[in-house]
Amino acid sequence: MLFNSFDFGLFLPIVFILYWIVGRKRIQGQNAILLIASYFFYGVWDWRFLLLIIASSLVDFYAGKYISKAKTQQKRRLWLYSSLSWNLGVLFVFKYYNFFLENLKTLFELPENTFTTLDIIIPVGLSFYTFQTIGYTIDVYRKKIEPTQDILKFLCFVSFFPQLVAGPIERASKLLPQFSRERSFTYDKAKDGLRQLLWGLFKKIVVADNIGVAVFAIYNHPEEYGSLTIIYGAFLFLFQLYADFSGYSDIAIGTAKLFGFDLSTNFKLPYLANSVTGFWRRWHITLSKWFQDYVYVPLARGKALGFFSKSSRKAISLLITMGLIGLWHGANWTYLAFGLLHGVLIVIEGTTMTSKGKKMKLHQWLETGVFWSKFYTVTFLVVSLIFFRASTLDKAVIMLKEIVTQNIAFYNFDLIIGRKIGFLVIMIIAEVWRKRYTHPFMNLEGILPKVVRWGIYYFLIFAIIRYGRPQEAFIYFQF
Amino acid sequence: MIKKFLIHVCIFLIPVIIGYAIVENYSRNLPLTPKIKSEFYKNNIQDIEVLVLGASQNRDAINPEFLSHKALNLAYPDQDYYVSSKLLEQVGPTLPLLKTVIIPISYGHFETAPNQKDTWKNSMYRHYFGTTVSDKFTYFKDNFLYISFPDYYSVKINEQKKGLLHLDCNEYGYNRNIEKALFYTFDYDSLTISKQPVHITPTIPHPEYIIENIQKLEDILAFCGQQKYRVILLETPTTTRFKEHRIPEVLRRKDSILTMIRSTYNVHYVDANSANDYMLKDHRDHNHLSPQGAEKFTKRLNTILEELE
Repeated sequence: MLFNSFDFGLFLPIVFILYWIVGRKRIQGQNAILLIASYFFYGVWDWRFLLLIIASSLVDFYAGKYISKAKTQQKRRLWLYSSLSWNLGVLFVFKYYNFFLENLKTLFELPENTFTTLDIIIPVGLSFYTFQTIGYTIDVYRKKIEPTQDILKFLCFVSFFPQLVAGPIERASKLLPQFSRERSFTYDKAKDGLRQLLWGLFKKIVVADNIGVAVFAIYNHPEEYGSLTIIYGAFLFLFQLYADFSGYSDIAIGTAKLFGFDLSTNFKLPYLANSVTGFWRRWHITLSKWFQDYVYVPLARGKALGFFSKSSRKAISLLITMGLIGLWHGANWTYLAFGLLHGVLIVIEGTTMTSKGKKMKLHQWLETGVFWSKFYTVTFLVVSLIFFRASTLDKAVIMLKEIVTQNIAFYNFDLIIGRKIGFLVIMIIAEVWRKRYTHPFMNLEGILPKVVRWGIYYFLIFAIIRYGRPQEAFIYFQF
Repeated sequence: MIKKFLIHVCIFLIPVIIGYAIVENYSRNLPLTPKIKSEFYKNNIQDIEVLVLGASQNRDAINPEFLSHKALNLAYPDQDYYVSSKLLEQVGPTLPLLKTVIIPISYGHFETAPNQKDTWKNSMYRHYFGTTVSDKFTYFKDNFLYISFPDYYSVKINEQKKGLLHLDCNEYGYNRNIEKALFYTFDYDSLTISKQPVHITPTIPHPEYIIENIQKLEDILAFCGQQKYRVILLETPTTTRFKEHRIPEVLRRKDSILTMIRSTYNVHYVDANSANDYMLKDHRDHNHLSPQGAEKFTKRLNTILEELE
């Protein structure tokens, strides 16, 4: 079920009322309602996906249990590897198997029918919930958390519908205890949740989907546009991606608040970062933190790369981590290129330099706010996102070539989406103006009178209804 | 606390619901062609003998006022075989005298993406003809017109308010207004028109679309066979320049499908596209007829239908 659908508009109030009125007296009752609702929410896509998520949940629930019960380190490791094999195996089969075979065939010039590719679709949100459960098992193994003995809570933790299909990727240490805590209804929290949800819907339906029309037109036929028009398209994609994904996160976090839950912040105005390193501290924060804790740190500090010097080890670990972050988005060389490009820049930004007699890393110097640091960051993001958006590496290169070689810069230029571009401006102004808060409508009471606040909400609802397009899935659902 | 919250939310939503109800009501009362066609359908349900399906080419080519039998033209822009089959299965049985079904077999019709994403058409057909043209689960929200395609209905509401909704429809819902037709905007100046590029779509073959479209056409033909409807496979006239720009491969594919269909099913094939006597003014654009062309073509079609009687 999509957040931006009429179905969700019916589903949410029904679950909300059942949760707070029918299930209010018992935590288990509330959890049971959440679990049924989450499985319904997910099963609407395809009920077969449910079998996979239930299987993954059970594997990790029991893996966690047996890891904590195991008396020897060897057994603990065995259970950890069993869990990892299942999770990564599922991910590989559904997401990377066909890509792997296709490339194997190309590499060794094997005949077309050497391997049979699988005719399967990737279950929605697979990468998100798989990472969440992997995180749980590793944390139990590292003794950072105690495994839960309550299977209902664990199933809820894996399938909690607001963040099930596109994050934020929550840590067990943060989300799991919330299913054990007594949850009582708080007016202010619910109100704040609704406002964040509304803001998220605006970003997704009005800003992202409408910008997407122009992006689609330009990316599909770059040869029909002048170089500046293509750059305009690439910039628009930058904002489409942000509005789409951060819009999803806002809806997820807002919805969770309605049920008394707190989810992690996933975005902190990433395009205002002064360096690529800084960008990854603000963009899809829960994913970059996940990779930092479970991939980068073990690689950089572990024995696997022990034969390299400390600085080389760090650089290689970074490149591997960023390559994997790229590939996490999908089985395509374009994503790998995107990740590696970022990795290279982060490695460069990690080099030490001297400024005004002080030794500091390049990204620290950039983050002091030198005037061109934002320009540098955004320019790099625009270029790297061309790889992210293009369907193949060749197409990304064509796009870049068109930018350089087109003679008439503004050939065939128009805004394509006309006045709707104004919504992007509204989004940027609102988010920058209220950058101290998790969403622009937070704590507005002290600043704007009720009539103005309601006017703004009505305007957003009007825009959502008026400028809503036939339902478009969230970009990150495919990952 | 929860009650207070729910009451406040309901109070907040009252203006939204009222506002929406007004817009929805306005959309339902717009004098659009589907509305006129639905009125014709309801008033003539006992007498309709010919049903026209397909996309905009058929919509513009067949003006039922020039047929001797009552005809309902349910062709609509970008309407694929899937939607046509749904319409036929649901509208067909409500027409006791229905004898003939006209289906397009024009260039590119097999190559275009089946447009099931156009969920708004489902709302339109549910509202005007009581039919469901989507395989997806539908419920009361699919009865709302405005929300199904806000962009389209907003534009139409604005045009209506400003008096710019210039429809010149006959009782069959055939729109004779050509203000927005491409050739009309060039004042039917042959030199200017000859300088304009001819857009031929699609350019990339998608075997999966072709397979799906053939399957749906076969579903239509099987249904017509069961119901003993006479089937006319129709290719509407296009301009000479359009014909020149067609991709030979696409043409070959279409011809081979047509050969297969004709050898398997009892169908009548009308190739109006080989006729060379359609003038520039007979066209709205390269592959759509103008009202003048539609009159010429429909009269010829009528003769064919009469001969088949």
